[in-house]
Amino acid sequence: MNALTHHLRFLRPLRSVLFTAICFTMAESMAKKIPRLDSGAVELSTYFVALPIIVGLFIAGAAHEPLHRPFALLLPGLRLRQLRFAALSLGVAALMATVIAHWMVPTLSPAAALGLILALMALSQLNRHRQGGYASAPAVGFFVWLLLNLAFAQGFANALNRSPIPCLLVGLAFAALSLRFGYSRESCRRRAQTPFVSLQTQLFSHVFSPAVSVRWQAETIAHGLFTAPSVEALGHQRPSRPTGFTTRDWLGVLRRLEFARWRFERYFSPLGLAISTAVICFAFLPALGLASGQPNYLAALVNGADLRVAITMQCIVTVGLFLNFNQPDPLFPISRARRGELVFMHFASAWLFTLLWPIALIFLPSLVGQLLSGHALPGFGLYPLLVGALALAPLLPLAIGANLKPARRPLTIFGLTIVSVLVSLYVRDLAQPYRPEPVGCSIIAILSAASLTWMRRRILRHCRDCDLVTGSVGDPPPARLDASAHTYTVATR
Amino acid sequence: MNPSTAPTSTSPATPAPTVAFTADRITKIYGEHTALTSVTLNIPAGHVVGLLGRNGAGKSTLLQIAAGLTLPTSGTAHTLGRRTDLLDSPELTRLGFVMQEGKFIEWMTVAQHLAFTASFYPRWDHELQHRLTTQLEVPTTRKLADLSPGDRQKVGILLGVCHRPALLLLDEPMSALDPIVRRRLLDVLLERLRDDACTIVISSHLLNDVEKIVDWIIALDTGRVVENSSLDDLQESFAEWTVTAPEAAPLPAFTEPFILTQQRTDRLARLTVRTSEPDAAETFAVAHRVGVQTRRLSLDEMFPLLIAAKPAASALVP
Repeated sequence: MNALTHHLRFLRPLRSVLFTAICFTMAESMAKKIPRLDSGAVELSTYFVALPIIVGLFIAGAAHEPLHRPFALLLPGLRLRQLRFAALSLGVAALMATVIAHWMVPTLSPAAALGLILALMALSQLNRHRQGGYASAPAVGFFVWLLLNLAFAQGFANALNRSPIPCLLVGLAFAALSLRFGYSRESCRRRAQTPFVSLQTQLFSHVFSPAVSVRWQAETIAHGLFTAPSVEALGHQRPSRPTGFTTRDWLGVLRRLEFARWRFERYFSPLGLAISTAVICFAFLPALGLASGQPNYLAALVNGADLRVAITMQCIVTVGLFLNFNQPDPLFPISRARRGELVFMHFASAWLFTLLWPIALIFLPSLVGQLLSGHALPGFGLYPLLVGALALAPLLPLAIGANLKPARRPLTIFGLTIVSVLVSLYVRDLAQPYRPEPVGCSIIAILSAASLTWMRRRILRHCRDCDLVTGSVGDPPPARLDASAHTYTVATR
Repeated sequence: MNPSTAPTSTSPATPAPTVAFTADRITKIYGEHTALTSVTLNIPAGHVVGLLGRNGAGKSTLLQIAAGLTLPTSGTAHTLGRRTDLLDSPELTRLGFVMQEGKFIEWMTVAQHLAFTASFYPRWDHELQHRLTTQLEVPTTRKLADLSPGDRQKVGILLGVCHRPALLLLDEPMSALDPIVRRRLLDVLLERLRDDACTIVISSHLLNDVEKIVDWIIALDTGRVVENSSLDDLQESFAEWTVTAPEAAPLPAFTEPFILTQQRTDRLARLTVRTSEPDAAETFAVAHRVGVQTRRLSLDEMFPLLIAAKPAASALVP
C-alpha cells in the first residue's frame, strides 16, 4: 500500500466532493442574494472565489489531520510527505478548478484564473486549528467577503485580464509561501499538540461512528482544559452553592456540562448569538443595503426568504442538538426517572430553540429594514418561516422520540432529511397566500402538545431501561451459554 | 558493569554515538508547575533503564523530551547524538516511543493504522508485526476508537516496536495489560534486546515486572534525579537485616548511618540498610553481639527507600 493510498484515505474524495458540492450550492445561492451582483459577477465570485476556498479547506484538512497527533513528531518524513501531498493536491485541484471555471466563465484569462484560484485554495494551508477548530475561518470569511465585493466591482475581472502573468506569479508565490509556513518545523510541532479532525471526517463520524466522535470530543475538551488559562474561563466551574434536589437544579448541572462538552454551544452561546445577530442586523446588513443603493434591501431580502433553506436549517439545527446530546453522567446521584425528565427537558428546549431561532434572526433584520426603508412588510415578512415552524413543530418530537437508540442515529438523520424535504415541498406553494389563522394555530398547538407528550413518554421509558454507560437500550443479550458445555458429570461408585 | 559505559549523571560532553540519550541541566516548566529541575544524565546505548518515580515525578516529561515531543524550557537534550528539537528522519527511524495513553487516528482500523505507520519506516518488520499481533492478541480489524484501553496499549506497543528501533522509550506500557500479556510483552522486549541490542528506557509502576528486564535504575522525585545506579549495585547495597538478640539480653539501640528504617521489639529488629560494604552485616553482628540474617530487597521494596533518600549524591553532579 503506497503513500498515495493513505493520503486518499485522509482526503476521502467522495465525501469531499459531496460536501464541496453542497457548500458550493449554498455559496452560490447566497451570492445571488447580494444586491447589484449580476449573473456574471455571481459566477465570478462563486467559481473563482468560493469554490477554491471550499476545495482548499478539504485539501488542507486531509493534509493536516495526521499532523495533529502526538505521534506526528515521531514519524520520519511525515511533515515533508504531507507538504508534498498538499502541493500535489493543490496543483491538481487548481488546474481542474481552472478548467471548470474557465468553461463556465470564459471571460477571465486562464493564467489569471489559475493564479487567483491557486492563491485562494492555498489559503487554508495556513490554518492552525488551534482549540480543535478552524482558527483562521474568520480570516477566510473576511477574504471571501472582501473578494466578493471586489468581484462585483466591475473592474476586477478586467484588472485580472490586463495582467494575467503577474497574477499567476503572485498566486504561485502565495501558494508556495502558504505551504512553507503551513508545514514549517515549528508549525508542525504546534500542530502535534492540538487535536484536529478534518471536516470530511467529522461530519459522518457523528452519524456512523459515534465512538470516534465521542473520543475526539473528549480529547478536544481535555486539550481545552489543559491549555485554558483557568478552569473558570471554560465555564466548567460548578457553582459554589450546593446542587439542590429538584429537576431544575440538575438541569442546570446538565446545561453546564453540555456547555463544556459542546464547543459550538460555547461559541454560539445565547450571548454570542445575541451579539452576532445584533451586529448582522444593525450594522452589516443595513450597511450592505445602503452601499448597494437599496435602502429597502432588508425588506426585500426578508420578503424573498427561501422557505426551503429555512426549514432545512431548522432540521440541521435539530439534528445537531440531537446528535451532540449525551446522557447525564451515569455517576450522577439521580434516579432513572429524574434522568428521563432531564433528557426530556433538554430536548423540549432544543425543540423550542430550533423553531424560534431562525424566526428571531429574520425578525430583527426585518424590523430594522422596515425602519430604514419605511416600506412595511405584512407580518414583518415572517409568514413563510412561521409556516415552516408550524409544520415542523409536531413532527420534530416524533422524529426524536422514535429514534432514541444510538444505533438508530443514521435512521434519525435520514428521517429528518425526508421530513425537511417533504415539509419544504408541501409548504412551498402555500407560503405566499398562507396566513396563520387562529384555528390552524390551535390545531398545530394541540398536535405539538400531543407529540411532545408522546416524546416524553418515550424518553422516560428509554431512560428506565437503557444502559446508563452506553445510553443504548435493547442491545442483543449476551449469547446464551450452552448448558451442555457446563454440565459436570459426577462420578458415582 | 563497566563504569565508563554506565548511565552517568556527570556533565555530558559532546554526544558520542554510543550514547542513546543525554540531558544537560534540563528544566521543564508547564505554567506554574515545574516538571523537571536541572536534570543531567547520560544513557549509553545497549542498556535497559528503568525510570522510576511517583506520580508527577517527571518521568513522562523526561521521556517526551527524549523523543522530541516536548522541548525543555532550559538546558539541552540529545537523542541518538542529535539535539531533540532537530530530530529528523535518520534519528526518528531508529527511535520508538510507546506512550502511556495512545492517541491514534481513531477512525482507522488497527490494520490501517499499522499500514499507515509502516509506510514511514524503511526497516518495518512485517513478519515481527504479524507475530506480535498474534502474540499480544491485537484485534486488527476493529476501529481504534472501539478498542479497550488494554488493546490500545497493545497497538501502541506494535507501533513502537515493529520498526526495530535502536532506542525504545516506553512510558507506562503495561499499565492496562493483563498479567499474561504483560509477560509476553517482557519476552518481546528481551527478544528485541537480544536481536537488536537496542537501548530500552521503561517507565512503569509495575516494578516486579520492570525488575525482570532492567539493568539500570534512574529514580525521579519531584522533577529531580534521586537515584542513578545499576540494578546490581542497588541489590547489593540495599538489604533487610533481621537482627535477633542473644539469650536474655535486650537489643541495644542501633545508630549506624546506613540504617534507613527499623522496626523492633525487645528481642527482634527488622532493619533496612543501604551500604556498599560487602561484610557490613558481619561487622554489625560482631559490634553489637547480635545475630543477623540478611535478605536482598526487591525493586518494589527498594522504591520507597530510593524516593525517601533525597537526592543521591552521584545523581546531581553538575
